[in-house]
This record gives sequence, structure tokens and C-alpha cells, in this order.
Amino acid sequence: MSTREVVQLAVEEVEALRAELERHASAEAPRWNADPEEVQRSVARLVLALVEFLRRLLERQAIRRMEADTLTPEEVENIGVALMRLEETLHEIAARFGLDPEELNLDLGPLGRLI
Amino acid sequence: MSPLYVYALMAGEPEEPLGAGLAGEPLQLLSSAGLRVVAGDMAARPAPAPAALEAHDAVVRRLAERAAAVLPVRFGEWVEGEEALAERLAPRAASLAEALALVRGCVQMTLRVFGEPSQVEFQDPADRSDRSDLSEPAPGPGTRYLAARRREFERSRSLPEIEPLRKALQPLLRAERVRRQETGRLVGTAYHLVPREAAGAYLGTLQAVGGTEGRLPAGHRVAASGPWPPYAFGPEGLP
Repeated sequence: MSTREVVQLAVEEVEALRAELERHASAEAPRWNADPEEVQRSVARLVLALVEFLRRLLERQAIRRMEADTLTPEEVENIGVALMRLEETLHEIAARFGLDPEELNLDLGPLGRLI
Repeated sequence: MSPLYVYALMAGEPEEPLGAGLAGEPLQLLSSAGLRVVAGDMAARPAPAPAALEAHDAVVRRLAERAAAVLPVRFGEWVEGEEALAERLAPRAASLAEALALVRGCVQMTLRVFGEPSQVEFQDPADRSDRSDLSEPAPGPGTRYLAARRREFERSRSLPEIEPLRKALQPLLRAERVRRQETGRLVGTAYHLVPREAAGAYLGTLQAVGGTEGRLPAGHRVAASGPWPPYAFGPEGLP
């Protein structure tokens, strides 16, 4: 491990690596903004991000249980419909506050972004 | 209570002294939550500047050369003291010990895949959309939704573009982590854990399979680098 291998990359490839690094570096955690004009949107963003985080956790758990065959077809259908409607509802509320779904992507610090 | 900057988890005794950390501080081998942790006294978390990142990597590389098993901790892990360190490690002690066992005697090779991501269609092996038994009822919207999410999740962890290369490399791999990134021409990255003595064979195999491009979809290429300490197989931040 004392020598470093030299890897030749095209300019476009270096740019792609740079973009990927910047994507991680610029990941911004949702914060409450004290600006009175922005306060509603800021709080909505925080709350919706938290709900989206929980929805994603439930979704991963449902997928794991699907893979393990521990859910009946009826349970899979019901859970799927519930998660789908929850996602639709979240997106509708987010749109009312002018929030893009990508803005609900919770940053987990050293773990990176959730989605 | 002295604040600590954490570099790595280690199994066994180092073959040589640990040396100094990124700020020149003497490194210590601590016992914490049943694990051996390499850390140094540091008053504050270092800022993520290129020089500090390089210095952190240099320390981890040196440690990896001096012990049979080193699990790197990523840059910036700083705790308030030994008690805080033990509190953070304890919930994951068993999985971290397993990870240490996995990386014993191994290095990481990194394979970055460049090209146009849309050219290769992802095939989920568990996809049952082409049901042969038409007597089964068609899946409802909830089932289709979850199946689509599952495919999306699987896709984020797969690089079918390099499947022929993976087959050639398979005998050398102890473990693999894949991240599909699709950022510009960067399609994704495969992190391969290979025995230290097999790093040369890994690069040789890549070259031998037709300069790699003959085995890849048109317009794709791979760039291999390494050997590295097994960064991609370490803890994703301390708990």
C-alpha cells in the first residue's frame, strides 16, 4: 500500500467525480429558519422531512419482509397502497408550501442523505 | 476527560509503534466496548480541508500496514472522551467485530464505471411481472408500488454494466459493495475487498479481460484504483 496507482481519467470523468463529491458536500440538513416570511415553509419542510424519513423506513421494512416472504399477498397490497397514499399526501402538502420532494431528503450527517 | 479523534478499529497488536496522528499527536490503542480503537487526543474536530483529509488517509494507510485487520473510520469522527466513545461503539460492537473479521488480511480495490447509465436495463432477478402462471390474480396497485420501489432500491446497489468483469474477478473477491451514482458520466462505483496478496492479480485480471472495454457495453469504461485501506467496509460513521 506504499505506492499509489495512477489512474488516467478523461476530463468529463474527473468532472463527474467532482460533481459527486460536491453533491455530498452540499447536502444541507433541513433547518428552522427564523425569518418571519419563511417560518411556515421552514417548519413545514422540517416536519415533512421527518415524516418522509419515517415513511422511507417503513417502506424499507416492508420490502425486507416481502423478500423474506413473511407477508401475505393481501398484506403486501395493503401496505403498498398505504405507503403510496402517504407519499402522495406528503407531496401534495409539500407543493402547497412550494417545496420540491427532493427538499424532503433528510441529511443524516456522516451517513449522507437518506434517499 | 480528553477529547479524542478516531482513526480506525484494529484487531490484534500492531507490528510496529502506531506513530503520530494527523495533528502530530501520539496515537493510542484504546479498549472500548470490547473493541480496539486507534485514536489521538484532539481538542476539536479538524476542518475538512484537503491537507487534513490527506493526513487522515496517510495515518490510516500506515495503520493498515502495521496490523492484520484495520477497519478505517471515516474522516471527522471526534468524541468528547473515552466514555462517549464506548457509548457510541457499544450498540454496534457485534457488527463492527464482524466487519473487522471480514477485512482481516484484505485491501480495497475501487472500480469506477464511466459511461451512459441509460444504456443497460436493470433486470431484477425477483421480478415476477412476466408471470407464467396466468391463473394467479394480477398484482394490485399497492403490490406494484412496492415492487417498483424494491427494483429502484436494488438498482441503486447494482452495476449490471460490469457483470462480465465481476465474473472474472469473482474468485479474488471476499466481499463487494456497490453504489450506483449516475452523476454525469460516473455510472457507479464497485468497492471490492480482496486479500492483500491478490491485489496484483486483481489488476492483472482486469487487464487480461481484453483491456476491459471488450467486456463492457459500448461507450463504457472502468478505472481501477488501489490497493486502499478498506474504507468502504468500515463503519458508516460512529453510531
